[in-house]
Amino acid sequence: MTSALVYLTGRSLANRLRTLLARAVRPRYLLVYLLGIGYLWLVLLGPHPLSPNSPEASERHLNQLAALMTLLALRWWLMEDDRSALAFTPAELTFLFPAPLTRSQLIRFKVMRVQFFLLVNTLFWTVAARRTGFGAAPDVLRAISLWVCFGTLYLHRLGAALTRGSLASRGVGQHRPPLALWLLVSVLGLAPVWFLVRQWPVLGLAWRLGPGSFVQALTGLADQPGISAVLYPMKLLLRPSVAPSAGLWLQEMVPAVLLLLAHFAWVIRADFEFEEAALNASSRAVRRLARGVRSVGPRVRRTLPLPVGAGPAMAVAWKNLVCQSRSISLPTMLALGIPLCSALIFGMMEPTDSLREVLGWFGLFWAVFLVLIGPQWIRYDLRKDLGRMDLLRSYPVSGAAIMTGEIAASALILSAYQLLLLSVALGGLWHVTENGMSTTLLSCSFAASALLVLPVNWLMVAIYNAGALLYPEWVRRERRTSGVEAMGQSVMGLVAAGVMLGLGLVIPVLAGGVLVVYSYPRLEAAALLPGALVAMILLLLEARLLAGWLGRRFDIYDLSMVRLASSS
Amino acid sequence: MLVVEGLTKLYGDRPAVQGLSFRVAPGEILGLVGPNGAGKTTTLRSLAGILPITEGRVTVAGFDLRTEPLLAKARLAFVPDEPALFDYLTVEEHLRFTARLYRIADDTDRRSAVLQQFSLSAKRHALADELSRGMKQKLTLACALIHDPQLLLMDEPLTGLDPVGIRQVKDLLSRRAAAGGGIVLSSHQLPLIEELCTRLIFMHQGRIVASGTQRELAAAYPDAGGLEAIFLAVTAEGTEATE
Repeated sequence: MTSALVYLTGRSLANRLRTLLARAVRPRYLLVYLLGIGYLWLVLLGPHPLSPNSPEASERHLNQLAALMTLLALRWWLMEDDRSALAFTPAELTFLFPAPLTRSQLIRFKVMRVQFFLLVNTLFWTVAARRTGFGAAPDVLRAISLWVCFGTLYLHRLGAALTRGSLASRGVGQHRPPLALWLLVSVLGLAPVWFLVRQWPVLGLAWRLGPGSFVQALTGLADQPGISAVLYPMKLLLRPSVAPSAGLWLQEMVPAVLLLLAHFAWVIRADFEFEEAALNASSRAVRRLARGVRSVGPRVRRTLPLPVGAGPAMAVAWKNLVCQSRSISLPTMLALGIPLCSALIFGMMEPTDSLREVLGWFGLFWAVFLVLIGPQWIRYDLRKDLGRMDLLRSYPVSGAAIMTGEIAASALILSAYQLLLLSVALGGLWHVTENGMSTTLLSCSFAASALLVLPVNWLMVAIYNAGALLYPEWVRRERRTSGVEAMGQSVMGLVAAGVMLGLGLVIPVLAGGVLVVYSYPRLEAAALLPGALVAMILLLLEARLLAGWLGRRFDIYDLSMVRLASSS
Repeated sequence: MLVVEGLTKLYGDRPAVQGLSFRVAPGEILGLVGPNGAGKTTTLRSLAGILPITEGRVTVAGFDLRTEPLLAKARLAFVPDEPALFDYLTVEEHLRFTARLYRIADDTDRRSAVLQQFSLSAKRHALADELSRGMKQKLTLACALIHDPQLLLMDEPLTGLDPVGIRQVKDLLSRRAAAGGGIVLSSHQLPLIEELCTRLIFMHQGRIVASGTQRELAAAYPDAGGLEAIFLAVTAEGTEATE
C-alpha cells in the first residue's frame, strides 16, 4: 500500500469527523446529536443487561443469521447489479486509475477504505449482541470475531464481483451468470423451498402453538443435513461470536481466521482487468445518485397522464410519481413485492386455514410496518428535490402547493400498497373464528383502517419532509448509501419520525377512541367507523396545518449556505 | 512522446474506437475533434490507462502502457471533462495526495507554485465540496500538473472556467508545449482547438476520418473556409461512408 493511499484515507476520515463536529456547533443539530447519544446509551448501554442466552437459543440465532448471510452471498453471485462492489468514486477513478498504481494496490485500497465502516459496525453489533445475550465471551473477543465475520463477508462480495467480471471478460455469461451457476444456485435455492413445503404439516402445527413455536420450528429445520451443509461456511464465521468462553472462542476463531485469510488471498490474487467493470459500476452509481433513475436501456418509458388543468401541486406530485416508478430499486421491489407474491402463490395453492391465517397476519404486520419504514424506501419528495430547491423556488407557485405536491406522491404510493396488503390480511383472516374474531369486527376494522391509511401516511411523509427542511445536511439523495453517518441517519430518522407520528396521533386517536367507546353499546363493531372517520378528519387537519407550515418554511429557506449530504 | 498503433477498444461486442494510429511529438499539441459519441473520451481514457485497450499498442515516452503501465502512467496526467474531487480533502491535501501518488518526495515548492498559478492560494484550506465549479476545474488542472508530466491528456479542459482562467490555461498549455511537453486535447470548442493545436485528428464513429496540420486540412478542404466547415464536411463524409 502506498503512503499516498494511506494519506488519502486518513485525511478524508479526519476531515469528515471535523465536518461532523463543526455541524454540531449549531444548536438544532447539537440537540439532535444529544438526543441520539442519549437514545443509543439507553438502548445499548442502559441499566438492563440481559443474561446470556441458553446454548439452544444461541444455536437457533446462529442458524437464523447463517441463513440470512447465505442468502446475501447468493445475491452477490447472481445479481449483475452487484458488480457495484467494484465501484470507485469519481474522484478515485480520476486520481487513482491513471496514477502509477498496480491493480493489487487499488484492491488493497478498497479493502483499507472499508475498514472504518467495518469497525463502527463491529462496535455497534458488539454492544448490541451483549444486550441481547448473544454469546458470553468478553466484549473484546466478541468484537474481534465480528470484525473477522464482517471482513470476510466484504471480501466475499468483492471476490464474487471480481470472479464474475473475470468470467464475463472471457465471454462466460456476459450479462448474466453462467447457466451452470444458475442451475447450481437454483438447486440450492429450490431445495430448501421444496423442503419447507414437505415440512409444512410440522410448521403448521407449530404455528397453532404460537409465533414463537413457529419460528423455533422453522429454525430447527436448519439442523437437517442438506440445509446444514449449505449454512456451514457462514456458521463457521459466526461461531466465535457466540462462543460461551474465551477458550472456546480461541478454538472457534481458527477456522474463521483461515476463511478470512483465504478470502483475502483470493481477492488480492484475482487476475482480472477490472478497470472497465469498475468504471461501469461507478458510472451507474453516479447516474443513480445524480438522477435517481436506474438504467433501463433504450426501451420506451411509459408515463402517467397529467390532466390539462392540473394545478401546480398535482404537477409536482405527478413528476414524483413518474420518477418513483422509474427509479424503484430491486431491494424495494422485493420488499414491496414479496408479500403480494406470497399471497398469490398461497392463493393458488388452495391453502389450509392455518396458511391463510399466517398470510393474513403477515399482510397486517407488513402494512403497519410500512407506515414506519415505508417513507425510507419511497422517497421521491422534497428529500430528492433538495438539490433543486432554487429551481423549485423559481416557479410562480406557493410553498404550500409545492410541499403538498411533494408529500402527495409518496403518501399515495404507500397508501395504495398498504390497502392491497390490508386486503390480503382481510382475506387471510376472514375464516379465523377460533380467537373469537367475528367477520363483522374484521370487516369494520378493515374499513376503519382503509379510512386511516392515507391520512396517516400523509402525516408520516410530511414529518420526513419537515426533517428534510430542518436538517437538509442529513438528507441523503439516494437510499442506498453506506457509511456510518448514513446508518445513523436512518436509525435516528426512523426513531424521530416514529416519535413525531406518535405525538401527531394522540389527539385523533383519543377523539376517535372516545367516540368508539361512546357508540359501542349501540353500534357494536360498527362503532369503529365513526371513530375512524373523526380520527381521519383530525389527521387531515393536522396534515394540512403541517403542509402550510412547511410551505412557509420552504418560502423563506436559504439553502445557499447548506452543503447537502453526498455519497462519497 | 506518445505512439498509438492500431488502438481498438470494444465495449462488449460494440466497437467504441477502431484502429487508431497516431503520434504526438514533444512540443506538439494534438487536438481531438469529433461529434458526440465519436470515441474521443474513450480514446483519452484508453491512453491514460483508465480503460484497458482491446487491441493495439500505446507507448508513452517509450514505455508500453500494457507491459510497463506504472512507468508509462508516471509520465502522463489526465484531466477529465467533469472535475471529480474528494469531498473531504482540502485543496492543499489534494495536491499533497497527488504528489505522493507520483512519489514526489518534497512537493512544497511545486504545491506553492501551482496554487499561485491557478489563484488557489486563498482557498488552500477549503474542502473540495466548498469550491465553485470553476475552482474545482482549476484544482483538477493543478493536480494534473504537480508531477510535471511529459504528456497531458485533457478532455474539455476549459469547461466552467471564467475568462481569466481560460486565458491562464491557454497560456499554460502553450508554455508546456514550448518546453517540450506533449498534449492531447479533446474539445468541442473549435476556436480553442484552432488557437492552440498544432495538429488535428477528426474522429467519427470511433475512427479517424481526417488528420493533419491546420494548413494541410485547409488544403485538403479548400472550399470549407474554416475549421467549423471542415468539421461539418468530414463528419458528413464519415456518415455517408458508414451508410
